[in-house]
Amino acid sequence: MSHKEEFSEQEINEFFNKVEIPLGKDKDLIWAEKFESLVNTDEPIPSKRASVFHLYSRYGMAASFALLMAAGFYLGSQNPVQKEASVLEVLDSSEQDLLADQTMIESLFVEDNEFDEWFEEQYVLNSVN
Amino acid sequence: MTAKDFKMIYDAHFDNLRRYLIYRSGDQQLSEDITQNVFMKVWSKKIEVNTGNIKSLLFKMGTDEFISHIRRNKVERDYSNSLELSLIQQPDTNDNLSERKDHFQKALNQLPEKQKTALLMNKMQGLTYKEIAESLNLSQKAIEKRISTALNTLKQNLNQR
Repeated sequence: MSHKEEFSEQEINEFFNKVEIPLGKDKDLIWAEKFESLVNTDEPIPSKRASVFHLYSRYGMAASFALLMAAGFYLGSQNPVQKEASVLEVLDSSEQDLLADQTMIESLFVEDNEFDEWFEEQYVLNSVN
Repeated sequence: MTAKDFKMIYDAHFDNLRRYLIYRSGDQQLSEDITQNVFMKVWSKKIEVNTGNIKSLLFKMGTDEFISHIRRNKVERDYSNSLELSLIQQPDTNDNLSERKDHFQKALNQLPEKQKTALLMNKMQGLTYKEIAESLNLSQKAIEKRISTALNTLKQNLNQR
């Protein structure tokens, strides 16, 4: 008898709102069991960032120290060469002075008429050689 | 995505997705497992809340997972044994109303599965045609047609004498 009365759009929509689909476990219980710990452990912890920065600064300091050490060794290895070069220069200049002195002393014992010849033989040739 | 965003999405959509999967699969436990997997993926991939429509994204992920579960397990869906929808039990003093509720229940359960799914997504879950189309990988036109056909079939079933 009731079926004879047609269903209106409004009544159909009201029935749709009453359609029940039974759910098993409560969603809050599922959250507590499965998701709460997962979400909390995956959250970034600010103090961890600080420790990472601290670690990087230590590496930076070590690298700087290593660079300074390397530069020190390199410059240190360059100095003996310079010293050797300067010693050779000193030796060269003293040898020349000695030769000049020796020539001047010998010239005192040379006769005036033989001086030109001596000078040519001893001084000029020695200097050229 | 922060834990707060995730909890907000969980509270808003977990039960809706679970209900949708129950009336698609007729299996409480499977629906719960798939819904949990979907939310696990959302969290692990840190899907941004404002990227597209999160609601249709969740339903699409749930649908895909449900279909792949059926394919993986080679489960033959027995549509005749799928969930029988019922209306919320309320003490009806009016015999006429009680009878009409029973009639509505029967008419709804007689709908072909695909029509019933689209219709319930629209009427129960409040999804728009566009959202249903995105969830079921169909065009919006196809969904409009399917829901319109479902409503006509339902009315015919209801008004059958």
